[in-house]
Amino acid sequence: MPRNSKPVISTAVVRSNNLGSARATYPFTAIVGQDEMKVALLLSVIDPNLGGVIIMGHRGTGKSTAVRGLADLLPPIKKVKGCVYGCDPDRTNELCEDCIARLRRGDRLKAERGSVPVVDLPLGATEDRVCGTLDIERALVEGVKAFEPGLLARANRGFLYIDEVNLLDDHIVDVLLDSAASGRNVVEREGISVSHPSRFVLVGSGNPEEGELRPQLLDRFGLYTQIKTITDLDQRVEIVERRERFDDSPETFQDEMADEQSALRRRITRAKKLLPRCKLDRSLLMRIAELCLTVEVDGHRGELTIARAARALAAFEGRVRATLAEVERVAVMSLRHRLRRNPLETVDSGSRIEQAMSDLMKKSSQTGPLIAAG
Amino acid sequence: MSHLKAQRSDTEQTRYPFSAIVGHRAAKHALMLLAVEPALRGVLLGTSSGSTEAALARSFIALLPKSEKRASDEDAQVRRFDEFIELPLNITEDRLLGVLDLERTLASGTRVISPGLLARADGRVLCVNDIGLLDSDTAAHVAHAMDARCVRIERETVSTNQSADFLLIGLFNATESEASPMLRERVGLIVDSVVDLSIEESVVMIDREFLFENNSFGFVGDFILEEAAIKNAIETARSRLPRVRASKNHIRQIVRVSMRLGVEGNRADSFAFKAARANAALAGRDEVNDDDIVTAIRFVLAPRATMLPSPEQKEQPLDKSTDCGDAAEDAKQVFDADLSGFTDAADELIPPIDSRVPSELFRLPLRSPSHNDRSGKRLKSSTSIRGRYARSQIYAPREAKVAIDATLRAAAPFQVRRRSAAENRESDLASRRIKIAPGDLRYKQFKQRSGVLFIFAVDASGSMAINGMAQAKGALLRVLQQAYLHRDKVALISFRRKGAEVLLAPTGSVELAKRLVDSLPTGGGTPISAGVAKAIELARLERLKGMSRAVLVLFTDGRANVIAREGQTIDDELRTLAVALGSESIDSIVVDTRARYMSSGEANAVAQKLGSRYLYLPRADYATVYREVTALAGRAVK
Repeated sequence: MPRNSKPVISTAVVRSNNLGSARATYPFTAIVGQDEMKVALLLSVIDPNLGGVIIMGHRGTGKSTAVRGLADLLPPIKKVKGCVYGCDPDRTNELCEDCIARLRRGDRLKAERGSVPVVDLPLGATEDRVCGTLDIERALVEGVKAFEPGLLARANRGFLYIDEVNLLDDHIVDVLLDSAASGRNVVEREGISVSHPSRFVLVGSGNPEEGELRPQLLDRFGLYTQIKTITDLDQRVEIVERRERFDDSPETFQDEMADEQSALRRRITRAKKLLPRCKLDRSLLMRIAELCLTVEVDGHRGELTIARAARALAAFEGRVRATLAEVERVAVMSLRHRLRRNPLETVDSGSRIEQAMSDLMKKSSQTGPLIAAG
Repeated sequence: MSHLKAQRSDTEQTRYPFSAIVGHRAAKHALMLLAVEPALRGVLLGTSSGSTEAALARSFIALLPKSEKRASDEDAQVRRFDEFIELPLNITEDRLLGVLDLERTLASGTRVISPGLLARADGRVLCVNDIGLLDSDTAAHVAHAMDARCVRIERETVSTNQSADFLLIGLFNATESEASPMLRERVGLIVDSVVDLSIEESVVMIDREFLFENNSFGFVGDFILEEAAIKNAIETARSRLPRVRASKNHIRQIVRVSMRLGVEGNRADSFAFKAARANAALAGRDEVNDDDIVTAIRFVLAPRATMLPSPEQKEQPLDKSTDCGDAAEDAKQVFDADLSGFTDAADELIPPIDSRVPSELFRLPLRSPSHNDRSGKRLKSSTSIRGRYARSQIYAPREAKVAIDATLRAAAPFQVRRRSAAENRESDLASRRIKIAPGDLRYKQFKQRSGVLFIFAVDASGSMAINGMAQAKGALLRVLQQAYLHRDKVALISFRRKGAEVLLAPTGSVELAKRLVDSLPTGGGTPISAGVAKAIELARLERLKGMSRAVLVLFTDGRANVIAREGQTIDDELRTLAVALGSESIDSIVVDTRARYMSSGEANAVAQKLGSRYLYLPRADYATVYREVTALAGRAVK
């Protein structure tokens, strides 16, 4: 870590998974309560196509602790050796220009195991660092116009985390929305013309009291979880105790949690393997559509998200078929941010979904065969 | 009222001694706790005058034991936080986070950044005067650095991580504006109350001030023993702290009180626990006792309370058990002073009903000649040099700041060629410099959040209960929603009885405002002038933070009957305020909330006197309102 005693720091570009914290990471499994948030995060790990998670809620409830803890749980992935974007050698349709050029030359893409990037997008980041820009040092020294990849390149195939997402500048949001939609980052600036893959899971957190989120950005997130201060006395006492133990000696505390951490890691790996085989019956899809209709969800992203989330949850539970039980657990987080907003609404949209869901459950228990299938 | 100057010379000999500062026991106590337990991360001190507390913080830092060698304290645990660094309110994002160093980058040909203030605060105590005036972006950066203990920079071709582990001492003027909730959350100790000195104490203080001025060396010498005693107490407590035991019951005590007070999140619980232990260490005890818990409640939990401990809960047998009864009782006492304003049998709570919002209300802020009526966007032009560096541009604006990163990138590809061209003519050293041609220059384009501040001043007097409070609330919610679509800021003031109260400091959050509007009580007289005066004050403060325009929306039935100052008439007051509104160029609009329209109504008269526009708020059905709002929303998106 550079020290402030030196007046000037020449910058080596840090290319790591470092989420920008100088401190040890608090283990994910040591987080007390807040199940909805934890489940949502795990689902987005199991199925990256879910569209990520946004966690909104009270300050100091462990939002960023959970996201930072996630990095430790991600199973390693195969990457093309020497590729800045960490391309997947097995998915030739998502390769970057360099890798394609290598294939054309008849070279083989060598694979190596690497960690999933979890990249922090700090507030105050400028557009050039987010998108990438001309590599100034190479230009100065060699007179070459080379592209220096930005955060969107680093986040490829991984997670992009934005804390205080509602404070993010509009022009950065625009850039994010572009790449999130297309899976590619297109740079046309300073005589540089580059397009590279940039598929990432967007994870955001924030406090609704700091300001509202732009609707376009909100819609990008697959799952929306609301987090509140825990009101159970024992759990809160437990939180303070664990925090004290962690502050006293982070290493000892991490050791204590090591077993639970690796158990969860194994479970995630299993679930990821199981997911492609996990089924969701057509009749259940009908029920999901019915639910979305009842609560008046705009568009079809809602149905799709529930279906995906339900499958991911079933895979996490080690089952090969999603049932109404899974749908029930993921419905609120999949739909909460997709309901039409009425400013005079005093009822939380979550409870509206819950009500519709429980009606649906009642109905299907009368008709029967749907759950039995699972 | 202030007699101590913050800007004193900082040498050991002439610094005003900590122990010579009269009064301020709570602030001193909190600072001592922070010194003993740096994990408390900081103190926010409410001030009346500002400078006394600044001097207090400054003299306090001088007392902290000096660490032997700063360079060797790589391990964060031996950080002493023994130096002071000030965060100026007008700091730019560049200077806060770090910026590309032009001179060195050009000289060396490699990227060099000069660290920002946050990185330079590493291992030090960061002090912010008037922390309530800090703009929200700066506050967010400070809060982030406090969380991660480092600054992460992704700016101007630079990507780096710098250690930024510091303690925060913030001073806020308790009568003006609080520190940002983001900072309040991350700082352990908050001293909200401002205690005025007694006459005797004031005399002592002035005496000492003169003594210090006449002979500072002698004065400092007089307090040398006291100063040594404090230093010693801190040292002893620090070494005792690891031995201080606290039982699970103590944590339960803290958490229970915290829940009763409706404290949000889990950070405060941990802070309270740490504060209790630090207090025990300071008192020379190895075991936490009730005194420590009370101290923790006072400095950590009570200032974060979102509700009062309810009386029914107190009767539960569970709470009478030995482990918590006392502490809860004390928490109650802490609040007794504030209770008076809340419980009034005459207060009424009226639920909002839907009402039609006159479309003129929304058009109003767009009328100003400086804004384009048709664009629907309220973004300021990019010629400003305040705000956030958004991107670079090739044309030089009137007030220009060179964007170094972009300029270098523009110049970079030509360096090899320009260098060889220059080689024959120049010395070796000069030829290695980067050659910038005028055409390479790029300029910073700034983006400033420049929405409009809507100040809603709501008449919450008794007469409003009959005259359409429900409608006013409904309309208020509608307008709030609209403000959200435009990304404006809203603030909420309620006036009733004898004065006005800021319910909601300027925020972009509809959610928060909604909650407050829902639970807005009514009752008492109608001090319209107090409400308007408060609004002007708010607008002024926001202007300091860069919010350029303010619109006052006054919901009232116009039955003003309480004056703000003795010896004036309401008409006089309103006319004075009209002048103030004009000179602050605040647009204002009076929304008449009476159930029936009368052209001679009181609200109309108020509007005339204030020089405001007048609008009558009629009833409407839901469908009309919905159509109206969606139409407006459509326009805003364009």
